[in-house]
Order: sequence, then C-alpha cells, then structure tokens
Amino acid sequence: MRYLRVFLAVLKMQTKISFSRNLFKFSVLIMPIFFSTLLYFVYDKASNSSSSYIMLGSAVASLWGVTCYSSAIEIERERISGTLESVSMTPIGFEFIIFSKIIANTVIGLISFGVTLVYSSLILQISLPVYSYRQFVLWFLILLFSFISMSFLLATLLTLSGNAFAWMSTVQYPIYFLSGMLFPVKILPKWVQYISSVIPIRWSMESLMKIVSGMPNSSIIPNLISIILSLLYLALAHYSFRIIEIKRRKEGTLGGF
Amino acid sequence: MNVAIDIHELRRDYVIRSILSNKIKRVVKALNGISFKVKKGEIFGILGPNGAGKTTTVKILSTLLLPTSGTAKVLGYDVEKHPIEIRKRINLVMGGERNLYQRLSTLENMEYFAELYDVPLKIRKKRIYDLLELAGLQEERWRDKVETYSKGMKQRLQIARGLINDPDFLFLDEPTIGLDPIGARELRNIVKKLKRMGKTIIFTTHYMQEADELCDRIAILDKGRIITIGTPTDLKKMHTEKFQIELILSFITHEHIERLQNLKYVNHMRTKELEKNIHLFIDTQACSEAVESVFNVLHGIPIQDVSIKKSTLEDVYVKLLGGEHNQS
Repeated sequence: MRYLRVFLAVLKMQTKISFSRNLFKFSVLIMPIFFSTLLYFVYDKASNSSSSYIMLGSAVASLWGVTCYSSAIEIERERISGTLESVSMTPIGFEFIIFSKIIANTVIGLISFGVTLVYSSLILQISLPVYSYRQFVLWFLILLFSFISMSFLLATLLTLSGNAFAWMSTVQYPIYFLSGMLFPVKILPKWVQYISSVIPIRWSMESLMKIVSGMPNSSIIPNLISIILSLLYLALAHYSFRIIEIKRRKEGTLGGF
Repeated sequence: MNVAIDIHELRRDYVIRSILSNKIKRVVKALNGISFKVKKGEIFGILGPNGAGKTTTVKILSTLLLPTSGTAKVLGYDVEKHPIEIRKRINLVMGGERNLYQRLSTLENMEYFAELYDVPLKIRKKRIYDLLELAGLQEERWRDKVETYSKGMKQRLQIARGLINDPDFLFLDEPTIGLDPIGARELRNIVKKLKRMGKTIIFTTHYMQEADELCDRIAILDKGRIITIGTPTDLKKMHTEKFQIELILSFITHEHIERLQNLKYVNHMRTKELEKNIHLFIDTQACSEAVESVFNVLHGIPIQDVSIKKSTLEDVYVKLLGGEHNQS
C-alpha cells in the first residue's frame, strides 16, 4: 500500500512537470501525428500489414519515443534541478522512485499511443484488424512491461555516462529499426537480426503484429521470450542500480556539481 | 552527554582521474581525520574557507557520501551500515535556489516529499500548513509555482521541506547564502525557533556574525582538519583579546610606537597606512586603562578618530586562518 501511494504521488508529480514542458507536449501530442503521416505515405495503405505498421507501428513508436526520452534522462534531470540529493535521502529508496517515474512516463506515453490511433482512424481512415481484443490488451501490457524494463536499464546505465542527454538519442533511434515497430525485422541483415533478438520489445512487437494479422496462436512464444528478456533486463537494472548507488556514494558524484 | 553525532578520525579522499587514461592524477584530502561530538538539541556550526571540508562532512553525515576511513554515527547509527535508519530521522537543507521542483507549487512540493517520507495521512495536511507558516510563506502564494518565487521564498520553502519528516536532526548547509539582510535575519529567527523545538542542527556558513548569533558550539575547519572547537565565547577568549582600539592619526614616530608597545595594558599592536593616515590597532583586555595610557603617550599628536570594538568571531577566524598581516 505504501509503495502504491508513492507510485501515485510520483505519477501525479511527473504528469504535472511533464506537461509544463512545451517540448514534452509536442512529443506526446504532435510527434505521433508526424509518425503516422510519414508511414502513411511510405506504405501502400491497401495491404493489411501496411495498415498495421501505419497505425500500430507508429503508435508504438510514439509511445517508445515518450517513454525512452523521459525515462533515460530522468536521473540526469533530477541532478540538474538539484533534487537528486533530496530525493536520494528519503527512506523509500531512490531506486523505487526512479522505477515509479519510468512506469509513470509509460502511462503518460499512452496518451501519444491514443493520439496515433485516433488520428490514423479518423483522419487517415485506417482500420486495425484486431481478431481478439482480450489477447491484444494482454499482449499490449506485455509490450509495456518490455518498455519499462528497457527504460529502467537505460536510465540506470546512462547515469554512469554522465552525459545522458547525448546517449539517450543514440539509444532511442536504433530501437525504432531493431524492434520491428516500423517495418519487419526480417528485412534487416542477418547479423542485425541477432542484435534485435536480445531486445524484448522486438518480440512483443512480433506478437502484436501476429494478433492483428490473424495469427494469435503463433504469438505466444515471442511473448514468452519478451517476458523472459524483460525480467532479465529488470534484474540487470536492479543490480546495476545498487552498484551505481554505492559507487556514487563512494566517489561523491551524486549531486554532480 | 546525550550524543547526536559522534565522528571519529573521519577521512575522505577524492580521487581525481585523467579523463583519457583513467589514471589517478591526484588525491585530494577533503577530510583529514576529524573527530567531534554534537549534543542533542545543540546548534553546531562548522566554519571554514571554501574547500575546508564543511560540505563533505555534511554529506557524509546525511548519508550522501561514504567516508574513506574512520567512523561517523548519527543518533547512534553508523552512516555506512544503517543509512536508511538515519534517513528517517534527518533532513538536509542546502543554500541556493535548487533542491526544489521549480515547476510545482509549494503545496505540491510539500505533498510529494510528505509521501516520500511516509508522513501519516491523518496529520499530513496540518503538518504542511504548520511548517509553511513556521517558514513564513504567505498562504496566498502556496499554490503558485516555485519558479515564480524570490530567492528568499525558495529558501523558506526549503526549510519547510526539510522539516516535513519532523527530523530529530537537521543539516543546514549555508542556508542564508545569497539572501538579502532582512531575509537572512528572518531565516536566522526560524533556526532559533527550531532550536526551541528541540531540533539538533548542524549549520555551515561563511557568515561569522550568523554563526556567533546562532551556534552553541563551533568547529573551524581548514584543509580537512579541525583548527579549533568550542563555544563562540570560548573561542573569542582563547584566540583573541577582548577589545580592539583603533586610532586614526595624521602621523606617528618610531619613538611613539616603541613607547606604546611597552605600555602595560597593550597586548598587541599594529599599524597600517591608509589614505595618507596612520591606523593604529591596539588589542587589550583592559579597555579604559589602555585608552588612558595610549592618549598620554600620543599627547601632541592630532587624533582624527577613535573607535573601540569588542573582538568578534570573525577576528578569531581571521587570526586562525592567517588572513591578518601585521605591518609593524
């Protein structure tokens, strides 16, 4: 109950701060429209798979943009605002606060997901053939889980670099290509496909695409892989966070200034 | 003694590495084996020049930094072994405008930190309102974003935020830095209120008058070592004379200087030439006797001005840290 209350407080705070930034509003409300429009003209909208990428792909890509951008630089942002030390000193633990912020960013990112669906449906006149809504929702939750695990690991590891803003873009954009959000991973060179196979989002995307392509049964295995990879990412992030926290207390670089 | 803080042989080194090769370039000794104790309910001041180790000490005690060696206990808990137990009972307020969410309002900042510190819901609202009143923040501004506040208001809010968990121990790291004189005085009044509430406070500052006014005991640090420690009164007694007489003269001869130096009540004397006048500084324990005998010696020399001041903590600080240069 205590952790749920803290999470809700973080969500409320994160929403208010995020929407007070114009760049964030642009990323959540306008960028999804650009994504959908771009894919609309790139793809032949007549085919079933094309409409999946235009609508679902651009919605997921927008969600990833918001979640990754906001989460990866979260610790850096706390450092710049000078609140990192105050927050680190609270007994709840800094790791839980950052983890909550990442979930909050993902929840906020759902707005951009919704904007894409509405825009694609009403303006671009594209429909998404979902054969099982219950399964789609469940699979979508697994996708969100993979987002959260990846963002948590990124937020933790980018803290080490001390230059999270620059590294964030370096990480954010390749995921668009490697995860199969915007086009099938199969068309990538073999060695790139090996890299993409360790990204949980890639497997979740594959499952979602199968659901909208009318192949729900073959979507279970990729989702299991996604869950296992996400759990591994979370474990790695948790372990890294512990090490970094001790390292920062040892080196005295918590405040960063 | 009811001990709130117990530091023993505390050392903290900062390793500076080369960016390219990661090789150790040098090791800076921020704390070089300091030891002291702070009693419960005491305001303990830490003074010293920049880089003396004040903030490093505060950061170690507030669990943000680990010591290289030595031990530091806060309210009986070791900073290395029990940081969570310490964090429940302490809070830190830093000077400047940071450490707050600028795009949130006062109430939102307070509510957020109240949640992080698990302040019970039953008393949360009352505590927030009481603290904001204690800090002297006007109620009509509580819903405004912090970024619209003046420096003084932000500092007041920091104090209120620092008290949100009703800490037994509060660290105030240069809390009046950058404040105007009225703002600084009001903040000192808040600190006095906190003392009356029974809070133990560690206070770092560059303002000697402030330390003199607020602190029960003071440690002066330099290059990571404690130079002296004691009550402000004791420090003044130990390290300076009680009074300083300053005379501004048009001229003075060597013979006069020699005679003055041999006077019974003159403990120390120096001269300084400023704007074609001679300033004569005389340290003494017996003011009226010294003035009488000095005036006798200076008979016939036009005296332009005379002033007498009691020694201050600043005199102690300057004397101990070598800022004073005798010219005679």
